[in-house]
Amino acid sequence: MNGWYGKVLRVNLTNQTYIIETVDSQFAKDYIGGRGWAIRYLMDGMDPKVDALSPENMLIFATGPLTGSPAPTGNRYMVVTKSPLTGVLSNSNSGGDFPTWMKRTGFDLFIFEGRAEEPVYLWINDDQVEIRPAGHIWGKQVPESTDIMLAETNPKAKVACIGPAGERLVKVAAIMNDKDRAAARSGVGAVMGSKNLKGVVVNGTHSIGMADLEGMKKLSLSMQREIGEASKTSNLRIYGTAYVPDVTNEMGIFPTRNYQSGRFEGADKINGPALNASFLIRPGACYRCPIACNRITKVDAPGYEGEGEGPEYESIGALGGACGVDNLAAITKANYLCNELGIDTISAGMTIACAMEMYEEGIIPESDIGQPLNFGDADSMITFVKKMGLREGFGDKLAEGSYAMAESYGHPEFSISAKKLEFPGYDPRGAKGMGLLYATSNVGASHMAGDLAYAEVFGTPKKIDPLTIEHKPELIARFEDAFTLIDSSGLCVFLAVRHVFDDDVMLWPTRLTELMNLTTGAGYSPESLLKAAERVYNLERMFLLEAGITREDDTLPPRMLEEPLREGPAAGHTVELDVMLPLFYKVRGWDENGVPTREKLHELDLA
Amino acid sequence: MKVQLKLIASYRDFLPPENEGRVEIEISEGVTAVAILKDLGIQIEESVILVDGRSPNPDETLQDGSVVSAFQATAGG
Repeated sequence: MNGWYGKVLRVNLTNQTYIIETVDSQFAKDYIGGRGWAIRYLMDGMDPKVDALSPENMLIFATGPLTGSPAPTGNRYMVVTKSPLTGVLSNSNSGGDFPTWMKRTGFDLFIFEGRAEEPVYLWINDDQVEIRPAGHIWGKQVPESTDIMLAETNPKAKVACIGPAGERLVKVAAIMNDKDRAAARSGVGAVMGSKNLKGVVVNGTHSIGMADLEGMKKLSLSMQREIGEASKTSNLRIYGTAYVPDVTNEMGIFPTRNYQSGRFEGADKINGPALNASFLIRPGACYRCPIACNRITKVDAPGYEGEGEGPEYESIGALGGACGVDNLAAITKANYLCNELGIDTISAGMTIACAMEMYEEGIIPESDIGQPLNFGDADSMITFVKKMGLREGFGDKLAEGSYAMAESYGHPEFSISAKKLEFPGYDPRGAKGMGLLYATSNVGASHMAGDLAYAEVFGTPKKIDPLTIEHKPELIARFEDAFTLIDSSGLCVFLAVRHVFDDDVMLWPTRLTELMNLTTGAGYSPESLLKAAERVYNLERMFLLEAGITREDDTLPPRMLEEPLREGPAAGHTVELDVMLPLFYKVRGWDENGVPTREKLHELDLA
Repeated sequence: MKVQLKLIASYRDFLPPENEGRVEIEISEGVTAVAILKDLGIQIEESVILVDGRSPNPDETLQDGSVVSAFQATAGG
């Protein structure tokens, strides 16, 4: 087989044993790789109803066929598991170096099952798999933990690990890799912690075969050059994703005070130019990436000292605007703390924002929190990021995520989330396609499940009206399938959306098909590749239905459905989900309860 | 009439640095956002243009107090 190794490492942490399984080429092709393979393994290997923190949950690290290939940004991996935060699927994605090094071990996927009796870490070095004691690392933060594991194995290896947050089963805990990169969302770090698995260290000498090595090298090199050249003057290189607050604020969709507004008066102080003028040292890149959107930063401001990577737009939105905080030093420091403790910055910021609003409304008593917690209080935002990561005091409640926290006070409506996953930084009342996405995605409110903001906000491939609902069902279904493809292939979204789909808003994967065929030789057409993505998406939906999701869960908070924005270009707007959702089900070939029909499942070879 | 220009991120470079992408300009009736931005040397096909935060109709003329913003049409975050 080319592109795929067709080899899966399955580790039983309870028995401290492992086996190597092979994968046949039809399976490989039908499920593409990465996220696609992972859902098939989940559906075949576990009961979707199990407790996500029980040994019965499966934790999968999944590379795609383009991970470790010559393709530019062929360097992503997925963490797929049942989420302890949402009770539905996790599809968390990360870059850095770890994914390419993982591919060098000679395995496409790692599956971690059961639970180790004592903390352990895994050292996977070509065909050598060791389960090593991690008791002496347990409790340590991500950077120090990473350094210890590298010193004990090979300084040239790469590490994915949890920090204290994952160890303490914080429901919004992340799995960090290369210290600063995060498979952040859905509490995947807590699943890893529940298995007493501190880290995974990878190194190796294997590489995937290429069906057409010369063709792949030629295409990859020309893409690398073209994108590298264009990136020199691109916002992502110059400012990182931090350029976005000015855009979303202008559109009136920037998360502000727990989504009470879409216009933040402090947006100017926490944007890309502000970051460049204050804390940016230089751009950074994931392995061989021509875009280089990472921010290598350092803060010297007293009380906020630190260094590392970020902040990204989503972190600025959640820890900044959503909390009413316009102090960039504080936001950057909070972002470093999230990386060190191993927490999702989006869920952390949005959970604190939820608590801020409920405190100001008099619903959460000050005695529960231990101090005031007002919007705009940067230092308190930082305090509660720390307490959340360590489950200290009121942080223990925040660690459950905004929905559980708000529900415990009898007011779940203050949690701005869908399927209990906190919103990313685009107010759907001013970007209605995103509203349909948040309500329908198989992981809950994630922009990465089908980021129509590319078109509604950023004009790529072209600008569409964010305030209309016509055609959004078809667009969201196609974007969801396209992003399923990206997540299954191993490419980064920042390259893929612009460069491997045709220049049309219905994202047709011509060049992606070419890259997949040059790599795997599997003979995909754009149609069959999209069909495979649709297969994966529908199988994920079946997982959700078996886990207990119903049509009632395909929804948004009352604020999005009933409270119009009061200022900005989207003033007066709510999300007309009641109109879009039935049309979406039809487009998907599902019945009126959001269940894939027999015909649809048959068409996709799922029944 | 007066309109506000907000050039976002890399587009700040179309104005002197001290402007930080902002300038108030005097225009006459019938001027479009596209015309103003073209005059500054901005490539319209590569841009997202907003008037008061919304996409303008192609022949839409500006009002007194309109805010015209523009930025590279690339990727998000």
